[in-house]
Amino acid sequence: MSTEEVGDKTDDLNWHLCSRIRVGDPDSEAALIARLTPGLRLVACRAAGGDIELARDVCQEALLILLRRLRSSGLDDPAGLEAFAAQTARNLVIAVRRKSQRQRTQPDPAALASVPDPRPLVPEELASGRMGLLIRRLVDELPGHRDRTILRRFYLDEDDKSDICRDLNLSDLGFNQVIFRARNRLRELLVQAGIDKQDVLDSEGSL
Amino acid sequence: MSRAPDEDMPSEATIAAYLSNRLDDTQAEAFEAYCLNHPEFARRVELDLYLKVGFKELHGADRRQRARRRWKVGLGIAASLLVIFAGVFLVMGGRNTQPLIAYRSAAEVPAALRAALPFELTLLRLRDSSTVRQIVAPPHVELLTLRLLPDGPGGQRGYSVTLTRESPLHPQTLRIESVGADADGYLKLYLPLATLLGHTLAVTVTPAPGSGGTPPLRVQIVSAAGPQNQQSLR
Repeated sequence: MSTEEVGDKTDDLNWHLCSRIRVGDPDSEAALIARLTPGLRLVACRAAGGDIELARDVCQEALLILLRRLRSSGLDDPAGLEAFAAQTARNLVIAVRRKSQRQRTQPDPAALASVPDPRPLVPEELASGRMGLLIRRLVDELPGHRDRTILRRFYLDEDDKSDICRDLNLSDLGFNQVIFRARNRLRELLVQAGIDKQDVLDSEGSL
Repeated sequence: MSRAPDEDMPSEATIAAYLSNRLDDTQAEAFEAYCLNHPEFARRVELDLYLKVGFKELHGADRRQRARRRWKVGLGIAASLLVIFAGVFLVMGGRNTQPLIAYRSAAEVPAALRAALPFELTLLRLRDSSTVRQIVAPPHVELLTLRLLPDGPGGQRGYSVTLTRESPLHPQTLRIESVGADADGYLKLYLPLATLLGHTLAVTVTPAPGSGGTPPLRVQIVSAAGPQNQQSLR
């Protein structure tokens, strides 16, 4: 399938979805959200400098804006649906940053340090981020040291795949299997943790 | 609503570069455009992103935990040393709370002290004056016989001797007037050792009351580690 053919198919799909949403078809809205959400979260995440939580909020907000627009006036050029959604998400991140810049205050570190924290002490694992907790579980469940080394080097140290395979005397297939298993296990852990099951994993999710 | 991977699908290297923020804006936007049109691919990239973020969070948490553990160990050692030093300080200080006493002659020394093993210390004026010398008192010795050689002839009433116990907790100065020299020209004083152990004793000998003093002779007296009968400073 050539790039041109893919583009034509996408244009047709966009035109179809936009026209159906305009006449109030909820299934088309769900289909649009399912199609755009994963990519839109990546767009928002990069724009937000890697802030996953902010990216998720921005993604939801961008989809709401897009749906309202499609329900009311629609888009002049449905072929630019993805670009419109992506730019909306980027603009929202910029707006959030401007707002936080305006609201920024200069804290007095000495005064803050002297105020006792009424919260009980929390264990280290609770203090770390949600993804860190899930990865800790994932790593603890791994069968061998080699798998841990592969994941740590690939995702944390950002080592090249070929270097890792060479150092660990691992085939390309073996490496892919470890990564594949890790992704699948993380997917399960995300579901278990109730972290946006619908919008991360379920294509049929809706707003 | 997934589609089969097409020939424009970004390579593994491009995915890794995108996740490491190594693509320029144009490349990154092209990558994102592909993701917006290929939700399955985008989900897979998203999982890789979560793995990266999660590993970084985990690594950061582990590092903080290790640093905190190191601090705890360091603080524990410091606290233990502080307790030990405080204990030693109090024990050493507490041992010598008795007032400084000096007897002019053996006859004045209480019988109990006189019966104990003798320990004689002779102090001479040194060219390098007031350097503190350490004297180790033998075990079971309770009485120190201090022999002093004056720098010059005494007055009509002999010499005036000032003994100063240099102690942060129990400092004390004792002045003894009209101390006479023996046939060898030495002044002799008898001191209970318990009042001196662990401290520095500064000794000043002046020919007569009111006359100018010479720099003191200073000697630090510590507990015995082994039998020694006599120590002499020269």
